[in-house]
Amino acid sequence: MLSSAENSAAKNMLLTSMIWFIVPALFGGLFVAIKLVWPTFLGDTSFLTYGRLRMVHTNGELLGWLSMVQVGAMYYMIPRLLGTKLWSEKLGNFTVWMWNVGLLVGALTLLAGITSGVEYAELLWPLDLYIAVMVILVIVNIFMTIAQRKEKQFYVSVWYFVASILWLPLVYIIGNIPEPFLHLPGVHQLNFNWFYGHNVLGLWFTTMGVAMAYYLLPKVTGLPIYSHRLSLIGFWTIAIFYVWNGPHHLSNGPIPAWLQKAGIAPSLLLIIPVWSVVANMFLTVKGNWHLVKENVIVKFILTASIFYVAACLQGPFHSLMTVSAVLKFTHWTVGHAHMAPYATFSFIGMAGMFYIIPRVTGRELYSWNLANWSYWLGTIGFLVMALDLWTAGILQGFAWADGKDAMTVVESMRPFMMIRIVGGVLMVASMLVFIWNIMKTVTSGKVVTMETSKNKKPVKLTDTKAAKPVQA
Amino acid sequence: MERNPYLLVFVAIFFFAVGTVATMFIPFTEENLMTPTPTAEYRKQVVNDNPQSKAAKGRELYMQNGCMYCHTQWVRPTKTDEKLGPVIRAGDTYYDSPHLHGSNRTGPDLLWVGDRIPDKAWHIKHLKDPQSVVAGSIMPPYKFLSDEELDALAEYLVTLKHIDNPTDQSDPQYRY
Repeated sequence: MLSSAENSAAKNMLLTSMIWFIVPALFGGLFVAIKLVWPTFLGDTSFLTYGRLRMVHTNGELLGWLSMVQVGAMYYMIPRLLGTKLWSEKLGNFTVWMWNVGLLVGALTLLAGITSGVEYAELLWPLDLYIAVMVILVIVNIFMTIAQRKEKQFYVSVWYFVASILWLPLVYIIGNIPEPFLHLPGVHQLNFNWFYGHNVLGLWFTTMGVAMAYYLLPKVTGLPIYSHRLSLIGFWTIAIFYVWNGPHHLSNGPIPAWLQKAGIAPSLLLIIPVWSVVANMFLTVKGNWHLVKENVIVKFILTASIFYVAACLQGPFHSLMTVSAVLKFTHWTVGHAHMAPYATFSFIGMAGMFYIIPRVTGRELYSWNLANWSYWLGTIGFLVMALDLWTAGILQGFAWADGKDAMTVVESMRPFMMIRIVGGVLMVASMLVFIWNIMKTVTSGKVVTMETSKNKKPVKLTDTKAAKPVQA
Repeated sequence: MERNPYLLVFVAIFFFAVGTVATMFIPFTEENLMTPTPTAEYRKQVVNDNPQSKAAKGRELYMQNGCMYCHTQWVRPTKTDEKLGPVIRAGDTYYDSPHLHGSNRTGPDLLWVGDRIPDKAWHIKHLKDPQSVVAGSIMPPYKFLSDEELDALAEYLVTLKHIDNPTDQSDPQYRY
């Protein structure tokens, strides 16, 4: 049942991750957005209500799609960066099963209303334990691969991957301390909640995504990374400052002023790692901007970089107490919360799959035109939704400050909630095109030689639309 | 360090630990985060001490149906929250397990909803068919809950009220 074929763990992880891309986005994202305009949409069945679907949306997209695409990419990239093979494909494939089964059970429990009630950490403690074991199996596989490495020097992606897989269990365990067994007094638990909610983004999705981008960009452009030193500055500044950020979610909350500031000041300092990563990406491609036009993968990664900067300027901005006083609890936050996971790291995830899937299946990508469609539908869809939500949030915040009645504000949001649906439809369309493209690649893409062929010749897969003849 | 994974791991975890201790564990030394208020004692009495009570079951239902994704229980010392009643104190939710402060206010804040709408019958009617009570509401109807469950949820909502705290030493209610 568990394949030991080379690259099979990476391939299976990446392909199954697509289920967790589209299903939670459609049911938990788009349908929930429709419910904000027509609350009786989908009837009044318990498991199709807003609250239940939203839990599946966040858990499915984050613990499912994003984590899986990033771990799948790591299974592919780490062996290549270290000049070796993945230590155990069988163990890798076992984690693919664990991931999918665990998430399915998780989704069903959440739909049934079985929840810990802690936002972003809703899964019940037995499932948390299961996930911890699963992550430890991933760690074992990666560290054993490192132990058998041929290449002694660590490329920056390896740094990011290694640190991320160690931070994840630490963040996950601290953030999911089961409340029934260890009661943390109210505000402390709120603090722990946002420690998890924020750091799972910063010390897992961000660092894994950055590792992927640092691998992909030189590979698809054929250009060396602009500065190795800059990439290390980025790594250490995120390692030092990120973990402090949790309390900025408690701005103006019932916590001491020093704690709020301890959360806000490092948020501002995070501009350093963000800037160093993005500068490195842009300076690598500098002088070769035609690549953006020709190569969808480059276009995805550079767009993701722009959204990464935007997200990380917006974050510190609205963590400031006076700004937070207006924007916190509004739709603004929802727009912001989609920017890093969707427009940055899902874009890098899609770019990664466009690169890796042809190489692990030995088939040309089915259509670079469709890949371009995924890009434009996703980018425009996200911009429609995000600009709409940011505008809505600002109006909402100032309307409350103006002393407007709560219901008046709800009703005034209706047109914005409608535009949000349009953005959501485009984003879901982008995902459908993406999944169709990958599925067609796997089933009927043009066959090229496998990368594992005995003569060890690198496969000359082209990553651009203007495909040159494929060399076997 | 570019060749030594152990050193990399050690230094990365060291910095992680520094931030975690500073922002997560040092706050335990803050006295006012560790002192329950009369509101907290009241909540404990109706929920924590009687896990079989209606209010406790109502709280479970509140969690299970994700009420906290649209309703905060968090009144801040800001101009936006001026009409929502007393500003929350750290000790007010001391016994809440887990906290239900929420993060988005699509609907109104519910921290003191029991003071604002103490009528259980109103809540039950509202939960069953929100639009019949509040025109223009976008809250979904909770018709799938049994009468008993609706009663429990409404009971929980009316217990969300402020109990005066004569020893409150916190800052006066400043507003941005």
